[in-house]
Amino acid sequence: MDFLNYLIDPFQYEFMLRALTASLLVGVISSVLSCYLVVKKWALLGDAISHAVLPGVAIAFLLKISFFIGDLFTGVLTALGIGIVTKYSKIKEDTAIGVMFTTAFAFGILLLSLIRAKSIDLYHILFGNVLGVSTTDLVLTAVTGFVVLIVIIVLFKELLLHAFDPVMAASIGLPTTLFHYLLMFLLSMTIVASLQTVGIVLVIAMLVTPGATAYLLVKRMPTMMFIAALIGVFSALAGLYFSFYFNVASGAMMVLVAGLIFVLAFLFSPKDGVVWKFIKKRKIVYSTRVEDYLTAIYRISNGSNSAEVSEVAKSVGENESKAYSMLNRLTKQGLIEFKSKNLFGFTQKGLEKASFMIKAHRLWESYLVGKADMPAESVHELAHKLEHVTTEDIAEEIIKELKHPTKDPHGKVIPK
Amino acid sequence: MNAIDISNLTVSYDKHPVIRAITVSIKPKQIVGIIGPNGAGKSTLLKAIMGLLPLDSGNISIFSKSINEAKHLAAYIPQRSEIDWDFPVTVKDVVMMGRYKHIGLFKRAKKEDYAIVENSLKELGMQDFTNRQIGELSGGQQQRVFLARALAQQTEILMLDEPFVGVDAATENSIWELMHRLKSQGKTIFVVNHDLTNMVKKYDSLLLINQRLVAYGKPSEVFKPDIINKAYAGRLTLLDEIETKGQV
Repeated sequence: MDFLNYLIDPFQYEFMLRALTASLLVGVISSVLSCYLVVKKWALLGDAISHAVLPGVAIAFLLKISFFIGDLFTGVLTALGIGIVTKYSKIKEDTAIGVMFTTAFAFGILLLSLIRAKSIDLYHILFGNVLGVSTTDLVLTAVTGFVVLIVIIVLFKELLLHAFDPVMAASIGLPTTLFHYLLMFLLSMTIVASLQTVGIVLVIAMLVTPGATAYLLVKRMPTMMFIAALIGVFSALAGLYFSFYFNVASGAMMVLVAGLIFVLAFLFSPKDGVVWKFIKKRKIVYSTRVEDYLTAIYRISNGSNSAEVSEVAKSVGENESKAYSMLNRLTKQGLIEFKSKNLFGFTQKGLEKASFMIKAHRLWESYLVGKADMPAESVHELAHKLEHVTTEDIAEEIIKELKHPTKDPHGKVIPK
Repeated sequence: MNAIDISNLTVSYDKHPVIRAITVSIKPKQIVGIIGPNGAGKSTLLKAIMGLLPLDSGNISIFSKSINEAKHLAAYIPQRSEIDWDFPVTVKDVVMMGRYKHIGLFKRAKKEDYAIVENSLKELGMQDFTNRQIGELSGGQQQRVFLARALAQQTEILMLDEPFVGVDAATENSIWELMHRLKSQGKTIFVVNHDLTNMVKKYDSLLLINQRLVAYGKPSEVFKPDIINKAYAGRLTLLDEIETKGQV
């Protein structure tokens, strides 16, 4: 019950309940939207819009209007500006983004330094202050979330096609330019709604990382959005608890947790985790080595079923101590058994496996000479590669195809 | 009725005219190869016919309707390089996109749409790959997925932009086989073909352009040294090469 208390305790405070609601909302909305940012390669654009809301804070203060309106205004204006520069000059989009958002951000800093208002805390604007979320903020965030999610659900297939193949989208009469600006508007709204929680500098993390993580894990857009939302919610909760118990910045903690989950997905994603790829490669290398040892022993023992360590080492081209440790592993696998310190022979299991490898090798040599017209002296290397990927079925097929051969092109007997 | 009537068409791309004063009429139920050198405006012409580009001047009509009314009459198969193959969509998702126009805004796919998607996939022999992410396919299979999507659109006209780039011989054959089957069903097919190989002789007619219309007609009429030379001015070596190959 102690653990449960730990989970519940923070929320006896009203500010913590508000913070929880805000974090969860932001976690879901920005994560779902992050899926579009990832597939449309809009990460930089999102970063630009988030920085461009800063002058909006100052303007809203001067005009005594809601921050929400002011932020949204300058955010959308910058997005439009980037679009215009890209369309009407030879400047490419990433350059236009670099120019526009830094200019807007600097303008914001300038305005704020001129105003020097006590009620505006630049630190909180830049890095968020989820514990200071007001009820008005909360309502605005909830409304934003509602609008964003409804639009995404209602226009799901159209936005999917727009993101995947804009040419086809246009060809069936979808308003692609409108969709483009609609997505930018949703993005701006989400950024503004997330400012209280994670701040200008970190908001882009929640708009990219959950989507990027889900992108590594699944292969369809709806599941990607669902997984991203789960990650967003988990990160938000984790961030909040950490900040409560360890008194650290909650926005930063949220982003760190999301980043950690990304690294885990990068390493261990069942779909294409880096670790699995590495292990798989190692396994193939190892099993090829085992098979090379077995065929070498088979050739050396040549029916007598005894071979010396030094001979095997020479045959596979490794030094004796390496060969010893490999042969010990083969003993543990029950493929060979040592008769004395230097002498050993196959077990029944080992002999079967080795005969099969030799059989596969000699069958392939026969096949390459007989069916693929390759000269007998040059088939060894290719047959050596093929023997490692040969199954019983493939061997049977070759036997049928070659009408039950007994000897390979070099006159050696093909084992049964 | 002609499948497509183009009169005095001029189209610009990035403020430069790419197509100038093209006038041509194309009969339905045939496979038309669009050929010409780099920058001749082949893809631009396709996109103009699809109604994707503003026209500087001139007219395009599809089955005697203006292109604005006739947008759903042509299906487009993009160049492989235009597609993001890591995009989180499966084979089935992509083919279903061919049904979006029929399903309509805000609505969801019906049983009929699923059936058409399934049939289109069968037609291309891709029914065993429905749940694969599109990046997990070979180049030939990827091309077939987009052909299946075009089939699902059930349009009278199909437009293929460089379909033979980066596919194996087996897929090349099955694309031709499919095009012939579609032709026999009454469809008109346009293929942008960049390489001037002997394959261009397989088309029912050739549209040779180099910004302007150079020639339109049967391959035997268009694929002549003097005419090709006009379009590929100063590239005689290339032409000699084709001629020699042509003897084989």
